[in-house]
Amino acid sequence: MTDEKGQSEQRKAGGTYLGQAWLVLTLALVFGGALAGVQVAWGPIIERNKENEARLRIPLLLGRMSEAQLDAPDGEQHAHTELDKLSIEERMLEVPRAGGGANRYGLYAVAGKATRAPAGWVLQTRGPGYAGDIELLVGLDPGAERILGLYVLAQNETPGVGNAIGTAKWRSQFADRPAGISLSAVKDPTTDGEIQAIGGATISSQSVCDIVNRAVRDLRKVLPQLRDRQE
Amino acid sequence: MANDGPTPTERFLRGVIPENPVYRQLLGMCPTLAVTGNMKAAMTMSGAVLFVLFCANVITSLIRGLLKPHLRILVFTLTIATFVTIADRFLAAYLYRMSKELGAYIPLIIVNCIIICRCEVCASRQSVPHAAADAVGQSLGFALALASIATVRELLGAGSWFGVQLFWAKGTAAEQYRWSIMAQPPGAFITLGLLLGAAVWIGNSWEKRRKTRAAVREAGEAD
Amino acid sequence: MEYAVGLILIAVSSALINNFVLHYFVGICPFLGVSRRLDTAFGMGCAVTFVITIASLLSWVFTYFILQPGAGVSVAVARLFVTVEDPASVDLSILSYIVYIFVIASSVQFVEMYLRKFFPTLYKSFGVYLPLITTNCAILFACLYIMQKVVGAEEPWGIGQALTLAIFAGLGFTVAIVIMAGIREELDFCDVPGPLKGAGITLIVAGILALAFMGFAGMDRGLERALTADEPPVHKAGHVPEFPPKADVGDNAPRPGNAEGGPR
Repeated sequence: MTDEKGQSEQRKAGGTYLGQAWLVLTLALVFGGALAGVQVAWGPIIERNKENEARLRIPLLLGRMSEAQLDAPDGEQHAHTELDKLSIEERMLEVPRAGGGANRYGLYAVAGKATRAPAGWVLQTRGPGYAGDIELLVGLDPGAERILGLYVLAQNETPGVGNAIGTAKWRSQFADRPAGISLSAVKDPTTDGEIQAIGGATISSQSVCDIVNRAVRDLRKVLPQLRDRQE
Repeated sequence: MANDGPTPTERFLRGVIPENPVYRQLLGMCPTLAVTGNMKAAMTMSGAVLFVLFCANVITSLIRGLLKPHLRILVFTLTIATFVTIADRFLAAYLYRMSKELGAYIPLIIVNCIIICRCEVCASRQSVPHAAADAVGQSLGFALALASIATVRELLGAGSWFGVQLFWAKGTAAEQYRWSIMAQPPGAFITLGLLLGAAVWIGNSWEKRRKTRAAVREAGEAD
Repeated sequence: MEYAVGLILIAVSSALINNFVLHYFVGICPFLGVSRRLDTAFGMGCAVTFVITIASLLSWVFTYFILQPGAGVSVAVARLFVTVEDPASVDLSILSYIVYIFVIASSVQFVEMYLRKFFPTLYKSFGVYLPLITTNCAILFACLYIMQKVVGAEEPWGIGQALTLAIFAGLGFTVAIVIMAGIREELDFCDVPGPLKGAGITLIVAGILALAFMGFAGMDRGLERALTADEPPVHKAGHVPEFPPKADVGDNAPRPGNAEGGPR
């Protein structure tokens, strides 16, 4: 009697395990289908968002648009119109470092679409800030003689203090600076090589200067090779 | 399974204050501290939690008859993870900047105790209307809790609310009075600690008042 | 050498500067719940470290070889069925969260079985908190952090970096929870106002701890500068150093092949 009971219990246990498995498998299939649908529908939009983050800023960084225009409701449209006038080539740039290793940058080589005349360079670079990395876009003129603009893509600086490096007002200091001079952040800027540091966030401000200095220096180093490639 | 237990309306009302997930059940602390730096992020997180909790509760309630004890948690987890992925992709597609600001905290909704707890306590035992009302009520309670903390932190830390600058504007002399620690981790902990203390105190005084009123009523009836 | 310096920076950053509990706000539930006594707190810290390491290891393997766009195993399997022109189009990263949570659940299950077999008293003392490690945000956060550094990064993290992050994140969690337990044991003898007893005062103490840990900020920059031979930037007020004019092609100039890489 007990043997039969044990056997029937075993059979039931085996049955329920199989019974439970089909529920999980069905759910997995249904959810997998839903996720595949989401990927197909929204994947391209997400890719575009990621690309646009840097691309949409290129007209701003090359002095073809102002911050106010970009922030306006039709700012994105305007940026796209400007981008349509340009042909942009994306590349990875590697410049060897003095102590070994290399500095890597994302480089956008921008030229006029119709005229094919070089319009400038935009470098995407990152470096250490006060708290974590700061990722920047730096715009330069075709001869790498002047810095035309700066944009902060990502930063983790102290909210309310170092955070201000992202504001348009602070960044506008980098528009139209000579690129041959090393920039530094000071309290009372007097010369071309000095910019106003944020009160209470000297390290954040100086970090941005260091990152920009390094990127500009490296671009100027390899400019002859890049120009040869352009022709 | 009989639909005994609280009615949908009761479930909804309970979730807002009496069984508030943050102040009463002390669940979901991670997003409560992380995204309450400003109101916009806090409300986006509440919206995401509402979506995930609602869908997970409804699906769990629909299949509650088929759930066996062993695989229960597995099924909950699978369901929640799927809906969190959908919410995360939606934010990345249509609210890209907010998605970057919230970062890894949206996927962390998967291990948010609130959702697994509600699936276990309510959705796996009651029908769809109950589960849906419960989801909406708990999410509303969560949103209120987040709003209370985010309001304090954003007003004191930046002088703005929902991004609208109210006082202590940048560039003015008053900017130095910003209590910027409020926008950082220590401010989050201390704000939540003090507000939690306030919530407990309010809860205790309500309890006391309810008991005195009940005692007075009884004494009145005894006469 | 640069690799070792990178590992040291990751270790210091995840244990102290960006402490998982006090900076990223993950792992708060056990932090509040289990920090009453020193020995249980230490045991929980060790268990979390153990689980984080296993889960991060497994999730790195899954992400690197199966889930990321253009991952080796997925592309190979896809090639069996369809022609794949662009490897980057094989992208399973939408399944990441589901894979991670199952990896974590399995890791916890494995640790539970291991403890039950070899350390039964420890297993009993954990009680219900051991399976609750599955819902510990810290572990999923570690997996997500590693995913961020592997998928779409210029220098994707290898297994060494992932392991370093996991172990030292767990150690940082242990340090935080042990400190908190020590403080709470003292608080038992203090006159805490009624409403704040329990979770309230713990959170306020955690806030002060977070304030203290903020003092570690900037340590990684100093360490990096000390350990690498980078030229320190010159920034004295009034000093206007000129860069070498751009026609300078000295010994540091890249060879023609260097100034270009693959498409981004």
